[in-house]
Amino acid sequence: MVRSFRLIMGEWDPWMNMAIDEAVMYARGMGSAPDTVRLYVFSPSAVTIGYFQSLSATVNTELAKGLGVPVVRRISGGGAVYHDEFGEVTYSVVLPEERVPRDFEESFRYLTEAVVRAARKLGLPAKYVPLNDVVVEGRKISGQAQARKKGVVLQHGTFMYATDVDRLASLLTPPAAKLADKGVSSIKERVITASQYLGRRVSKDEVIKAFTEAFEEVLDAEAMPGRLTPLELDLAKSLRWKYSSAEWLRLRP
Amino acid sequence: MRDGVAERKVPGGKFVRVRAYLTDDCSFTDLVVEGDFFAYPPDAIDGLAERVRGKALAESIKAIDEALEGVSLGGVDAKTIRSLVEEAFRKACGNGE
Repeated sequence: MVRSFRLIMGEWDPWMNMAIDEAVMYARGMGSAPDTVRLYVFSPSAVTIGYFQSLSATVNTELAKGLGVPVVRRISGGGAVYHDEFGEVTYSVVLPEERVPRDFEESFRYLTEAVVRAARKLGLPAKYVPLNDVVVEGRKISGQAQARKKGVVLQHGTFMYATDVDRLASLLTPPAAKLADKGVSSIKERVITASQYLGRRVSKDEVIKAFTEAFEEVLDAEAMPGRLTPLELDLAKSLRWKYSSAEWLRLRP
Repeated sequence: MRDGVAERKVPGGKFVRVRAYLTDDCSFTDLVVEGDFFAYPPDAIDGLAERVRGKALAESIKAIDEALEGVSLGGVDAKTIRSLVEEAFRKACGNGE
């Protein structure tokens, strides 16, 4: 391996996590940041929704408020995700567009291969299902989303190793037509965690190790532990205001 | 004021819902396209409402076609969005304009 990528790990609040992903994308586009993979945790647990999603049609906002679970709109498309502080690792990968296939499905297939490989390292018979899911025996364990700006691709996604699926099912309200298309009647039937499948408590550290190795393989590059630059941090702090604003959250009420 | 909603889970693709808001004489006042699809640049979807405001159906469809030309869509295509706009319009206004 001659190539390398910056690996950043850590826990941030939900708004800052989304702000950092966007800041790294801009910094990469300006040439002031390297190719980057982040492996991170939402603290506190939160729901993120896709850029084009309706807030009220997607999330039980009253329940989220009652439980103290923040809801944040992403810059990326895709669906709603429950990020469990104690059972979910989120990854993001930031690369120049020329490193990623242009076609939607091909680009998801390429970058999501890291998720599939990480899951297999943990002993899960995972496979990619277009457009943006990873499933284990037909049940979703990971969803991905992408944004593209300034010649850079950001893909971020979720990996549920011990997510509280009851809480997930109570917070997310997918349209019936979407569940029916997947052949299920409830979201709980549709998802699975690594711990559920393996019948043991999978740890966050195992997941992080598996993802680090998997990204090294897929990107054919060595992970170099690093941190955000002062520019990225400043940018992220500014962008955090957007993510925590009611206007952004209610872009599609 | 009138409004109509049309939605579809695209087979093998994503969920899309269109909300059309119209005046009593059936020209668009607002148009919202929402769902778990992908689009680059996203502003092209955000800007559809502005493109159709004050227009009747035929003109609006033309404006939507123009706006979506060259937009990269994932999990939905321009034809589906156009057909949902038509469906939402007809729910609000029937076949009349």
